[in-house]
Amino acid sequence: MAAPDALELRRRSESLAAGYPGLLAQAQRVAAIIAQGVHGRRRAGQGETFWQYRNYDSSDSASRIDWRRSARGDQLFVRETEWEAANTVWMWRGGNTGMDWRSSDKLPTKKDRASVLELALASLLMRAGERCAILGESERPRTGTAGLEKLAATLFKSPGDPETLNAQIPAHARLLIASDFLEGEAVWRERISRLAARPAKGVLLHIIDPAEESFPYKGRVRMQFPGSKIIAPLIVGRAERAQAAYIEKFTVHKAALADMARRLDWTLITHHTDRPATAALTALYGAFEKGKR
Amino acid sequence: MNFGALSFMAPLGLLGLLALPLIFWLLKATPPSPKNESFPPIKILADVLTEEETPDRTPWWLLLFRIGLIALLAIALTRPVLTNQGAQTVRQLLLVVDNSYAGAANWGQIVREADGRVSAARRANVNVALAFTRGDAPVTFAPAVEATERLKSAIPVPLAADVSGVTKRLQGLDLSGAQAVWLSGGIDFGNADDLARIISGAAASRILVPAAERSPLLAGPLTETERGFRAAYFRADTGSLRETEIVAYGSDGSVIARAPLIFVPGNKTAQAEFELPADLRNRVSRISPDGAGGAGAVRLLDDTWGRPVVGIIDAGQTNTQPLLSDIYYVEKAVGDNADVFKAPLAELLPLGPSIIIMSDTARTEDEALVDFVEAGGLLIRFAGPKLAARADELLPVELRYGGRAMGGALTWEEPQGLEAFAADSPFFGLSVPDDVTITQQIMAQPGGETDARTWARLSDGSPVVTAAPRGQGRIVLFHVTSGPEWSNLAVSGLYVEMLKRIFPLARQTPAKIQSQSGSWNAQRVLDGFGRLTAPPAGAQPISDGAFGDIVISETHLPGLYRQGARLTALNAVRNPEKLTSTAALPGAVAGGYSGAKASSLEGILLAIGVTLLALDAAFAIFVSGRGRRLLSIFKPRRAVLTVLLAWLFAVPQISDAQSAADLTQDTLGLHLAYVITGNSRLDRQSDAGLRGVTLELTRRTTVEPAEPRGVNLETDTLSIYPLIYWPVARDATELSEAQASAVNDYMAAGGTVVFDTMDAGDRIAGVSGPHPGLARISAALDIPPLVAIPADHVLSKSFFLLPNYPGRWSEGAIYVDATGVAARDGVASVIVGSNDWASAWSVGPDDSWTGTVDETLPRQREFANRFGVNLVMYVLSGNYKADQVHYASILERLGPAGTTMQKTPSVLDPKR
Repeated sequence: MAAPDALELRRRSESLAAGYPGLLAQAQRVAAIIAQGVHGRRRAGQGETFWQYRNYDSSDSASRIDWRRSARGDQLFVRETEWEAANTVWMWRGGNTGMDWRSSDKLPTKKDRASVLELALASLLMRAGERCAILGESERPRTGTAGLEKLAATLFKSPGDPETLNAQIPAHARLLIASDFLEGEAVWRERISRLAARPAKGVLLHIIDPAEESFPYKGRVRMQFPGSKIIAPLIVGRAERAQAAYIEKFTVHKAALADMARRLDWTLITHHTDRPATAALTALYGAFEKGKR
Repeated sequence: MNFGALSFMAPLGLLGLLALPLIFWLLKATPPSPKNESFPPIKILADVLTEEETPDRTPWWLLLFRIGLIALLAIALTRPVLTNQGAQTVRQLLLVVDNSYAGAANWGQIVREADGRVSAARRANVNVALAFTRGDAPVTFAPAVEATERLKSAIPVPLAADVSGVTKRLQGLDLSGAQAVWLSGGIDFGNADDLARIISGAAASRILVPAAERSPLLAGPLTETERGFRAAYFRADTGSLRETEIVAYGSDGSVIARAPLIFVPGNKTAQAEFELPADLRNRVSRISPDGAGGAGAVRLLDDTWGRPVVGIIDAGQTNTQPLLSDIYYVEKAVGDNADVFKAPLAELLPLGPSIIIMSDTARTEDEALVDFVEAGGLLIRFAGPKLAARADELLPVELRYGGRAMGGALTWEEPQGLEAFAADSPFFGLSVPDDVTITQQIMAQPGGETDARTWARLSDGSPVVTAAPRGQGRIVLFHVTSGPEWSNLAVSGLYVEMLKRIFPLARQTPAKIQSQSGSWNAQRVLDGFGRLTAPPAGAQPISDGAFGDIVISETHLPGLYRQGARLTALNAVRNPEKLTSTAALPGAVAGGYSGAKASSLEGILLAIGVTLLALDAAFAIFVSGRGRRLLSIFKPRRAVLTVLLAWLFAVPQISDAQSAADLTQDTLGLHLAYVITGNSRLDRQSDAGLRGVTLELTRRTTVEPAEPRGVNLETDTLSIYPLIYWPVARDATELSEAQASAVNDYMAAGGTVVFDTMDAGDRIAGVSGPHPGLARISAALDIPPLVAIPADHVLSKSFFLLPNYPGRWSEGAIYVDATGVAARDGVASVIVGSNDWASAWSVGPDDSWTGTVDETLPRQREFANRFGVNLVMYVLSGNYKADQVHYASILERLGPAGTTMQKTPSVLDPKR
């Protein structure tokens, strides 16, 4: 599975998203802050689309009377439009060399899978008129086909530097953070708390290569952080003996992440790169849909 | 250090086995190098690895393999030898090795035996004295290593064994307590008894003689027979049946003939019969038995063999035109059957010719010539006006005065033919052509003697060729001139055949009777094995007088010796019939060469060890986990495989270039050819087009070509095609050097290339400028100056009368060579056009027309086909119809009578 270019990434995410209906992300109902847009709120308010006729009330100004409707009967009617507001989802995916790694040629790298999932989600959101942006990279949130195009290009180029997590985002924004979170629970707790304090809420997408969980190595092995010499390599004398202890540690790591997410009231979705991407997308769909009710 | 048949030459090497426990411990202690893996959650892993690292073990099978490997190498380094127990000796050894040409015949066996015995002596640590039967090194007992070295460098010499010399050198040697072995080649060169006596004086003695079937052969004299020649061979040991083959080689080493040679048991001599025609027989320069036989079995042939030396007396009339000189005809007739020298008599005789030819103009009665004939020379003379006027001494029969003329304006008689040759004539069997006639001859006096001396007669019985012995020699007289003045015999093949029959009658003139002061220099000499090589630096010239009974020695090796223009062979064996076998000596063991040899195991063990070492490297790679990556390199990618397969299947279809079978086939018939351009659409169209022309030719003319061929300019033989059609696309690429030279050669050798740029239609539409494809192609070709085709060009008349040359288009201009070259019959080497003819000609597989024409002319397709026919006719028949170009002026020249014919051009046009 060769490393995809931006176009390929786009194609894959589109085909992945093809089976889902458009997704409206839940919007925090905080009036005035949220940008106006095409997001129908199923209630009367400011907007373009017709919502309902209601009887004229004396408090209404005369100019609001819909004369065409009123002429049909004896009563006066006022035309109300639907309240429309768009939500914005900010996305981020880690891009260090550890993310750009796969244990086998048959699997995608973690970075690729994360990119595909984020883009697929963005595609679904944009279909429903929501706006998406890459955290710290996009100038402004966009929507529509051109917006998706732009997003794909930005995401493909995005280095996924942790610094970009500190970028300015409007309060009550929704976030999607995809990473392997291997820097450790403490580092990430600090980062996520800062975001949660904006206030913002979101979803953590934990991408795991199967080899990271099962540790399938045997014999004498020199372990090295991919593509980097900064972290000193480790020589494991008999890898099969270290397996049980490692798996235990990794489970602890996962549990710590879940704990952190729960406490911050974020959603944690765990995805293994050897599983189909649709499973993760379904979970993401559910997570973003949830808040709507 | 010995263990039964196994002994170690360097037993200290066994100490190497002590290293084995050390290696065992080291391998157990050192783990194999780790596999490299990249792993992102390394931080988590780092927390795990707090316990002490226990290294992985070397697998037990690898441990065992490596220990076995080291043990094998250690044993190999001790140089183990498997010895032949019988050859072992404890006494010091005297070895007499026969390196004469007798020994050369079985040199391999002798050396192997000697080597085995010396090696045994070396292992037993006893001294060896080595004596060669030909050589002057002093014979002393010395360490066996020395003898080994000498044996390695020994080669046999092409000389007889110097037995008395060996005997002398062995005189001072104390043989009591020594073992003496004589490795004899099997031939007693005299005095062998003396040597046998010395040998038998040793504590143990042995004389080894090759088995009777392998005893050396000795070449005897050659004798010529009617149908070839006979080679006599001799052998010393007559004990068995012996069958072999004698091979006759040419001077260039090629095999000319083979003949079986069979010795019956008890017979000392046998003969090989060669049946060879004279010209092949003359080319034989050396005969020897099949396989190696030593210098004694080789017979070298020199210039006294086969080709006689013929002298033609030149009367010195240098200003005569060659075709009018009578010497010219006889010289041509002698031709390749002899070495011919043409000179005045005084200069001829020192060359030692066996035959002298004297024409009438060169007639002489020189005393020297008479001496030549009486000493055994053959004189062939021809009659002529001089002889008719006056007879002389050197005649086989008495002649009448004056000549006899037949068939002239003033004679009654018709010119006479020859009668069939009589059975006693040397010409018997030659067939007489009817058209050989004699118009004038010299008459012999009739008589019984004349009758007996006549070799050829006219049909009325009068002698034409007579011959008679004179002294030891012979005179042959042709009663006609040597040239065609008196008869056309001189220009018939019979003349050549008759002379050929006369030549073997000349007694071979031995070279030594010639008085010459120059000495003979070795040109090529035989080596011991009977191969001709360059003479060594020590070779000495032999003075002319001494050549006959020179003693063959190191300075006078057998071989070919040259003196001026003459070449004489000095053969290795002088009197083969006198040599006897050594098998009869007391103590001789015939067939005693066992051929067994102590064999060293060192080489084979080392080879196995090194192979295992290489295997170990492979194991090491796989144990350390790098093997999988190594294998994955070789895993073929599917895409590559697909492309490869596609190429394999596609190639035979794309190119139908000629195979060897095609080539043979194509030379037998007429094939039109087109250039395979690599553009498959063009190639298919060319093929279809040429098939269309082929069809039209077969239908309308007697030219019936076979299937057209696509030719690959680089690899195919172009010269067998009269015409090559070359469609040139605009994107045609430049020619490679090989292609350009092939096309240039083709055009220079008379071929015609038709370039078709196929763009006449585009040009009408306004495309102008030079055709880029043609410009690229023609850059490397030798294209002559071209002109637009003249209105009366032969191409317009070669079969049909054509006003223009249409193809798919009709307006395209045609260019041909500006000047016709006479050598190629006026046919242009290049025809350049743009009418896309192949499109107009093309037919489908069912011979139906599939072409296209633009129909700017009425019946354009018909005229395109007519052009195709004309083109092939033009290429095949050249300027045959060129006179039609000029027929108007020819008729004009014929005068008023011819003018009426100008109105009937249909006579000249069969199809009009």
